[in-house]
Amino acid sequence: MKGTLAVLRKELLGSFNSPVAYVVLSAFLVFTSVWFFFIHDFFAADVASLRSYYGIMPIVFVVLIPAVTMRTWAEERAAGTDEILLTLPVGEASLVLGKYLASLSLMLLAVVLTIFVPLSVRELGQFEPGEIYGQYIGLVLLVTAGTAVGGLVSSLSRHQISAFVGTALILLFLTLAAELNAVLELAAVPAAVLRFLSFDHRFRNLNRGVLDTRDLAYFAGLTVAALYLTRAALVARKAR
Amino acid sequence: MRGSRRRLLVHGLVLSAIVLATANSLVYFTRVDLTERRIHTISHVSRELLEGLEYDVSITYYRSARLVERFPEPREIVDVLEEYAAVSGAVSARFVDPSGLERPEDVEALGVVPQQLTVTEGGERRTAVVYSGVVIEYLDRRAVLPFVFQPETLEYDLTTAIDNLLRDERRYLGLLLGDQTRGVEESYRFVASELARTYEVRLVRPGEVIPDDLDVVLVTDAHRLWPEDVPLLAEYLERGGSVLLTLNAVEVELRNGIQPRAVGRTPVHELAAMHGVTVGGSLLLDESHNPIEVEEVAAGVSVTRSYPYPHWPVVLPRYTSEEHPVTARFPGLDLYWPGTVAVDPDYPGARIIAASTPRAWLMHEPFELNPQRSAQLLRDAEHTRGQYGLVAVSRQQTGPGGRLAVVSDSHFLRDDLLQATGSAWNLEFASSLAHWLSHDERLLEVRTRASRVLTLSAVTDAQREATIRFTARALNVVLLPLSVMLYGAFRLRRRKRRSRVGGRQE
Repeated sequence: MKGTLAVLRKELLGSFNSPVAYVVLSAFLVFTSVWFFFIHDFFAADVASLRSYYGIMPIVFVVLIPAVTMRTWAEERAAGTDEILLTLPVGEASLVLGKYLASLSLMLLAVVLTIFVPLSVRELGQFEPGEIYGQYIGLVLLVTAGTAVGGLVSSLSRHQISAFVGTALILLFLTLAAELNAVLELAAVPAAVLRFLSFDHRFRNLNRGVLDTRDLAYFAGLTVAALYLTRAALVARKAR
Repeated sequence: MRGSRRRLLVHGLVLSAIVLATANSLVYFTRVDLTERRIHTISHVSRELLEGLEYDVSITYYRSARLVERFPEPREIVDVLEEYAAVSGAVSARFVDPSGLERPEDVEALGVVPQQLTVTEGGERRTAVVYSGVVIEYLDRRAVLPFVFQPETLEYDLTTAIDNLLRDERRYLGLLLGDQTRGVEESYRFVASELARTYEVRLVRPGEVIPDDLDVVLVTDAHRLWPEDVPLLAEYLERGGSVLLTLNAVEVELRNGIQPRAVGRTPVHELAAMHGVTVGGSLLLDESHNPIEVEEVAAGVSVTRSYPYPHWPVVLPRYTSEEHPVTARFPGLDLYWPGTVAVDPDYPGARIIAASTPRAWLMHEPFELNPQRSAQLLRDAEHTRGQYGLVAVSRQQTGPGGRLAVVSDSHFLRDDLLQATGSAWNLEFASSLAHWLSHDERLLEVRTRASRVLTLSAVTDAQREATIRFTARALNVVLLPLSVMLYGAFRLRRRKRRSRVGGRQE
């Protein structure tokens, strides 16, 4: 636990002492707000619901999560500091968890900053609060699982750019898996598998205020599996 | 080598355990509706129906993109349909935009009704044809909801339609018009169309023996029935049939101005009394009432004025029976010049399910109906103030168990009056009574969802609305991202300065 906290602190300081975090956060806020207020034109749409705002998040996270997680392990590897890291008196699990929690904190900060959108428009209509709770639970689950996947890809990559591209492609597939059904006209079983894997399909429930334990289990399972595999990758590298 | 194999085995086992645990959630799962209005919660009646499906039910919602872009209702309809699909694996929901079909008009052949919508596209106003209909298929059977636009009543419509498909039998409702001068098209179009959602509505001719295959018979203006019809109704009840009687204490003829005329005691009053329900001969007035609009001519100009009108009572939910299935989810009921009903305490199957407020009063002959003479309306109030029954139900305790419902007002389903007071809930109440009478209580539990305003219309002051819009845009698009950047710049600058100071000290 101590080791995890020490790694978390170091990583967080590293993140906030670099301009990347602020640029990424600002770009995220500008893009999502411009999309919502100007491209989607929330006021002209005249619907007291923020589904269109939160509904775009899974796609935005396809870029945002890799931007945050790409440096987690790949940067250490490129700089050659990974070997020093692996010799520290901290277990692999603590290392993985500490770095993961640091990336997750940054992503959660991005999520928290979106709260100003509902707060600033709430007076205009009868927004369904349960829907908004669901949307935030959904965002937290998305970033929890996505960040774990990003960490795994980063641990397997030599360079940040390949970590970014790899994570983005995987997240893009996971996000749009259900949509492939419509394009490929798959048989029932593969179609069900794609639906099962789809982030977007799972987020849709939460985006309308329905908490389904199947979605919780999926995101939890994916997070644990990705973290476990990240640790396994580290152990394998250490053994080499 | 052995070590790496072992590691692989361990990894395989751990990942398999995670996959199994996740897959297990597909079998044992629960869904929690976080919304305040429980808009994604399907009643246990619908749930039981869906969980008991033997074969697949396919639901297709044909909705035009133009409608989806302009109104929030289709989105809520999609939510309800997705919830149906989530409850049972046997239900599949598809959403189709007819404009994407090769021949959009083919959906009309399925029974989906087109609607005209005025749209402005490319700066040009024109009329577009839009669809919002649901087609439900089960085996080779099909049910169609020709135009759905009210998410609040969709569950009821869907569950009723699926229930009908599963039963593969029609339910029939007979409509017996006591006043033959008032046709369905002229006076009862709304109620006939409401009841047609569940029943096939057939007209019963005066003097016709009531067929046994009718699940329920609705009698309008029962006090004006031909005397020979009453024994036919009595026989039908004896055979286990169910009857909804609407009858007046006082006849009010609107077509030639308001002219009150006492109905007196008729054979149908005797029939009700035989089932434990006594119908009074006085008018009931209530402190809870609707206004009436009266056209007046003042200085040669015709103006419409609204007057409080105790002759048009509004039945309040707290004065209805919470235990009875008909009134357990009471939406409301507006009556027009009603009389009163009472039940015989010695008839165990009879009970009042809706009553006036305790501040109601009666008016005996001669009747005064003029809203402008408000003092006259209170004429008999002092001696008659109290609570009175307005709707009674009765069920036979022996034999095949026929059911009777009596509403002390036959105007309450008339199109002209429903339009005058906007009392759509009267139709819902009639539908609930019909369900109870046809022994379909469980469908009454499919509640009507509470509605909410779905648009951004909470702020009525245009200036304030503009300010909120500007603030929301400025805050989220400019101020917040700028603050994050400025904080970052400040933090980095401070760090740089500190490290410079630290370097110099060294």
